[in-house]
Amino acid sequence: MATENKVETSAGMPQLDFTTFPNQIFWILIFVLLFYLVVRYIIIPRLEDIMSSRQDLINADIQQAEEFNKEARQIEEEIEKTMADANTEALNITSSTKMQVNDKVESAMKEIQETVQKQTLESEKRINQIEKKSKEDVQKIATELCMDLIARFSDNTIKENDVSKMVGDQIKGNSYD
Amino acid sequence: MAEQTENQFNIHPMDQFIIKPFSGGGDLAWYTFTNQAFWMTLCFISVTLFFVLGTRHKALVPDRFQVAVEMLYSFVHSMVVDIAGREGLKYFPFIFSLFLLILAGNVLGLLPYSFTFTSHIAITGCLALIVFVSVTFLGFIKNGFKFLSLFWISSAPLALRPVLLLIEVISYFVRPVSHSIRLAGNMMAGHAVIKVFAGFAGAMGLGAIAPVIAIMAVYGLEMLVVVIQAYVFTILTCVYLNDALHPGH
Repeated sequence: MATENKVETSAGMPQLDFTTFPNQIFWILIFVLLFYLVVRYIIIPRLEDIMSSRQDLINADIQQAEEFNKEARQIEEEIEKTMADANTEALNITSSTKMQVNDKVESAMKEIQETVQKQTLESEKRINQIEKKSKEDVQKIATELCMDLIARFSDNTIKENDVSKMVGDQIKGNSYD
Repeated sequence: MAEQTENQFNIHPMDQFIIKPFSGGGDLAWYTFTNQAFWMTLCFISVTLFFVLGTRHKALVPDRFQVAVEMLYSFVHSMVVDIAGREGLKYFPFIFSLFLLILAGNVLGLLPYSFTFTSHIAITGCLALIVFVSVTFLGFIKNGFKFLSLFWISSAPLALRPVLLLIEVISYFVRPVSHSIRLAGNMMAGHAVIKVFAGFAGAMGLGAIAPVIAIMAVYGLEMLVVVIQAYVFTILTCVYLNDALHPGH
């Protein structure tokens, strides 16, 4: 029985059994064709669809990112420009304010100088008046003193005008000799 | 007793390759649906389901299944571009279908009690001849008689060229032979070895630790070999296609 089984099943190399070749060739050709049709018309289109839509999405994202980048750069440039403008404006304001302040200071100084000059003149005038009055007072007191002395120590009478004149001459000559 | 021993070790590693009508008996006509045709059908259904189910969500951010499908596609796609250039992409569907047919045949052939149709020289020979004939025709259609410059190596010294011509012509016509035998031989040998060890394990019963370990080792190796052989068959197809598209050395 075992020997029979052996004869029935063991066939050397079944690959070299040429009687099966037409059958094998027939079926492999059919399946090559079937595989080709499925791959060509079902598998590849599905995968290409996925890949291309993914690629489209990636491209769109990249494009959007580039646009954002461009926009960001524009904003940055605008900020820089605004900063530069603000800087220039600030400098202008500073310099104009400085000029205004200088002008004000100058005019204030001028005003002060004028006031000071005016007040100096007035003071000088007042000093002169006071000096003049003081001299007159001094002359008057000196005259009175002289008259009083002359009256006490001598019997001579001298006119007050003469004494006043003499005292006045002495004061003008700055000499009391 | 002797008969019993013979029975125990009655291993026929090549029996797994016998082609039988799928219905079990009867004559084998050219159109008979065989066990081999059945496994081709299973391969076809598996591949179709694998790709259709893997791409059913058409997700832009793929899940693991879709990643596997896409990786397989990109792997062969980049192989064609790298070897045959972008011109070769026109023939990508054919190359991809060939790759899937062989890969599925090899992988499903690893299942116990399955049938490895890629271990049959008639099958691989047929595939290799399809590649050889179509590539040769393509070479002549694309380049005319300039295609023959493939055999005339202008960069070699003049005296050597006739010798090289002979070698190149022989090697060109040997291509389908090596192309087909490489695949069939690898598939047949690996499966036969597994069957031999399985026979030992069966005969030795529960104490068959060594044969089982050997089967596991060979099976691991075979898992690598089935993928590599599908890859090798495809890459050689790409190389031949490249020769047809750009015959100048």
